[in-house]
Amino acid sequence: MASSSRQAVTAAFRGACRSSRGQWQPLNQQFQALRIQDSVPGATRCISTEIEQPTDYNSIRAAAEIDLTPGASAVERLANARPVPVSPSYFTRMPKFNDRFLALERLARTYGNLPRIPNSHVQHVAWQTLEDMKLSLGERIKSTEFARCLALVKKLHTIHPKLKPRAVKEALQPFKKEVQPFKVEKKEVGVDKYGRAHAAGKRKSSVALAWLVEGTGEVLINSKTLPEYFGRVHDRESALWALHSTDRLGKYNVWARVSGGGTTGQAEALTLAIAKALMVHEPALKPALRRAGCVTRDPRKVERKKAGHVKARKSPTWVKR
Amino acid sequence: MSAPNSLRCLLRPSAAVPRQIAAATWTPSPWIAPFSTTPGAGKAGTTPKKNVPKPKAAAPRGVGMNPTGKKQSMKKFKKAQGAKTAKPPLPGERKAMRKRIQLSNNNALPVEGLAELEPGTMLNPKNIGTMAALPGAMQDNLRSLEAFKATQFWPMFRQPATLIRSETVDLMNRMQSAASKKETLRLVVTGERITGKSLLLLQSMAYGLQNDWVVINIPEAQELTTACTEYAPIPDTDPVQYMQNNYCLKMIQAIRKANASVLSKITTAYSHPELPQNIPINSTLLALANAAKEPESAWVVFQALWKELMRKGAARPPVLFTLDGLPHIMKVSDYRSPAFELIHSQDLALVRLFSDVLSGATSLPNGGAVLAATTRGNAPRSPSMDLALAQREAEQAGTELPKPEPYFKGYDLRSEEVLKTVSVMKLKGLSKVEARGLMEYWAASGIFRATVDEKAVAAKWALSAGVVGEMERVNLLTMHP
Amino acid sequence: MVLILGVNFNEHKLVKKALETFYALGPAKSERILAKYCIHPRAKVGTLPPKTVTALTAELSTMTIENDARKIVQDNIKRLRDIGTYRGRRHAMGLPVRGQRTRNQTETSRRLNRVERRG
Repeated sequence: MASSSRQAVTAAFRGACRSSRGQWQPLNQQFQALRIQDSVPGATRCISTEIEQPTDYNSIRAAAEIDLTPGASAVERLANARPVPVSPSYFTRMPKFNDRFLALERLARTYGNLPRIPNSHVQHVAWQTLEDMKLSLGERIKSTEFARCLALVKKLHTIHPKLKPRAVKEALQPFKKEVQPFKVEKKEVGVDKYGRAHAAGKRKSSVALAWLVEGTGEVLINSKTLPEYFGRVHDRESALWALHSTDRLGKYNVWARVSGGGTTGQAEALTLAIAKALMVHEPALKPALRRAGCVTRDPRKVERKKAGHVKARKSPTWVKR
Repeated sequence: MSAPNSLRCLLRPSAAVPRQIAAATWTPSPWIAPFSTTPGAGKAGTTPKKNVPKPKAAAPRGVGMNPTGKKQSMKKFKKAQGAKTAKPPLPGERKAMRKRIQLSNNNALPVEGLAELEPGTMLNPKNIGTMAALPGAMQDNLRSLEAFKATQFWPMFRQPATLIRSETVDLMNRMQSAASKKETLRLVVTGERITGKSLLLLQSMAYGLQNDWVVINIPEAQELTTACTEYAPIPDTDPVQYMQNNYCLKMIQAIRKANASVLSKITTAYSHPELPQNIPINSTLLALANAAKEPESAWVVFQALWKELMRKGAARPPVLFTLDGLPHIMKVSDYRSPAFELIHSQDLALVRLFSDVLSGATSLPNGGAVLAATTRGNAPRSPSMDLALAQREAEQAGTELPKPEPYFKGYDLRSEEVLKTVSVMKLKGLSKVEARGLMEYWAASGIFRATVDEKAVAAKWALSAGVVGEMERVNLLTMHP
Repeated sequence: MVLILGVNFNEHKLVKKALETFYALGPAKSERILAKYCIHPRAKVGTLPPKTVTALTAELSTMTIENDARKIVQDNIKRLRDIGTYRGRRHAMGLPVRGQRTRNQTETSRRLNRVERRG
């Protein structure tokens, strides 16, 4: 810090000395003369704006007492009244932030010794970033301050959840982002009141939605029967492969909607959808279905065509001469 | 997920079980197909029996498909190379090949315990789901009526046999009651493709032949209306009707051949002075039918024959009149009148005759049935027929009638008129019991080589939704893993 | 072999195609002739009854076909030539009549265009 401020002051002097070029002194000498002493012996530094109990009462001089004699009228008293900020950090440049920071520090002092859990076990939380905080508070928060504050937040967050006081939880709340991407709520999967299990499947550019209900083995795809919808026997077998490989053909009725892609894609999208719906009915079948290759979504897609190529990778024919 | 599916393609039945082990542990089970490449071995295990069944076959498909439907080759630019190709087939030979019907196959195994079709077999609901073999004599009769089609699966089995399904029993019972009450059963058989519509007509013909009906069949309605057979105006008709002599002659010959035993028992009651040869009263109808020797006289003879059959009185048998390919007669035909206008199918005399009976304009005085089957293969679009059949179906089900589209101009009122009061039978998939009967029969014939149990039936039924033709495709035309 | 208007036709030839072999008798006219005599479009010459064959011959003999039709065309060209039109000149020179280019590909006009036109 000393060197950087020295250079700044040097630069300022360079401009000032231009007029008195004759009495040129080396800048360093001038700086030495003007150097302000960083530390005054005996003074204590105080970062916090918290009111501390002064030890030497004699050194304090109070302001002149406001005259509140009963004889004074209300108007007179009002004339002497002056507004006092609620928060001591009112006159700082980021009062709201400082309030929070101070509150956190207080909490850290109080509860800092509570048992903590290792970082790997801590619930993953998306904290507000500096930008978020600046926007939400409307204050020009310094990044260093913010970093220190966030470190404190994270430290408090690692307190064992069962022992974590309510005050800590409440104090941490404003530092969390409104949307918590890590907090994934699992969708309710199950059989609905009509006994249907619903699942979706995809393959290539086809999307299939299947509803599976216990029954006699009837299949309706886009309100057509299986042979009407898939002319090719292979496609029909693919579509019902999940049921076939687990010997469940004839035990479930399928009602499905398919769209997009071609026959192969649609049939294999159905495989996935039916398999997922089947797993809702009978979760124990998952290993069998995985062995049958019905659980994994096939991620392959048509590769896009590239400029300068005939297809995705094929180059135009080229002869040297 | 495609990997395991595709892997199945590589599997061969022989790869699954080592052959020697399979032979050593094999025990004959009633419905596991015994299979042997040596003809003697198969016979040794089973008593040689002629009556082996045939499968139920596919529904009607278009006849007019070109088997030589190859693309235009680059012949023009290629020089003929090497040896000369074989002699091209003579005129008509290709068509004969295309239309050839093979009804038996000595490589197929005879099926033990296969019952022959008897006059009452198809009336009994107990027989639903069983196969019945067509007796030898009846095969000839059905063949002359052209009831078999080349697209059906007859050549895979030792003997033609058919599955008795619930619709069969239903139809035959209705036919029987119509005959006994001297009423006319007017019915259209409809359904998706390969659901067994033509087979149901065949079964009704078999029933008629066995129960001494007179059976008349128009095997392909398109032969009448696509302008491929000769036609001529009938004099003194207004509006002009057209007779089709060549087709008529062919039909009389088929009637004579198929119904010889019945026709020889009935005698004529009218004198027919218009015939080319004198047929005295009290001669047999067979003799009357024999009078048609030339195409010129065919239509007259057919009219005389029809008049005799329509005579009300004792000792006249019920008549079964069937037609396959209903949409073809529900439109304007491809023929042109001398004034170069297209002739409506209903102005063709033979079609008119059928339509009148179907619509109820004329009734069969001695009872009988008139059946028409729609076709889904090579069929023209007939919005009127579709609408009328949908309306009849809704009437039968008691639901709201579908309405014609108000701004669509393609409706044909004359066709709609014909179908105003018919009843409709819509064929769907088989039930699982019927499907199992069919698969057991296939297994016994040696062409389905997996065990037929509930699991297999459920699997195949799910893949085909029970549709007969799809069952064949799934079971007989694909490789089993 | 069947004789229609003095021409022998193979029995396996379609009637429609047989009729179209006559000059100035195209698909439209032959279709109308077929309809007039109630012959179906896929009829072969061999299946025609003699009565129809005679009727066809009679019908054809009343039509302006073959030489009569050719004569009309020749007369038209001759008239153009006689009044000295450009089209008449082009016909006489065996060149394209309707403004086509003559740099190449004038085979058809060289073959056909002349005052006494044959084709």
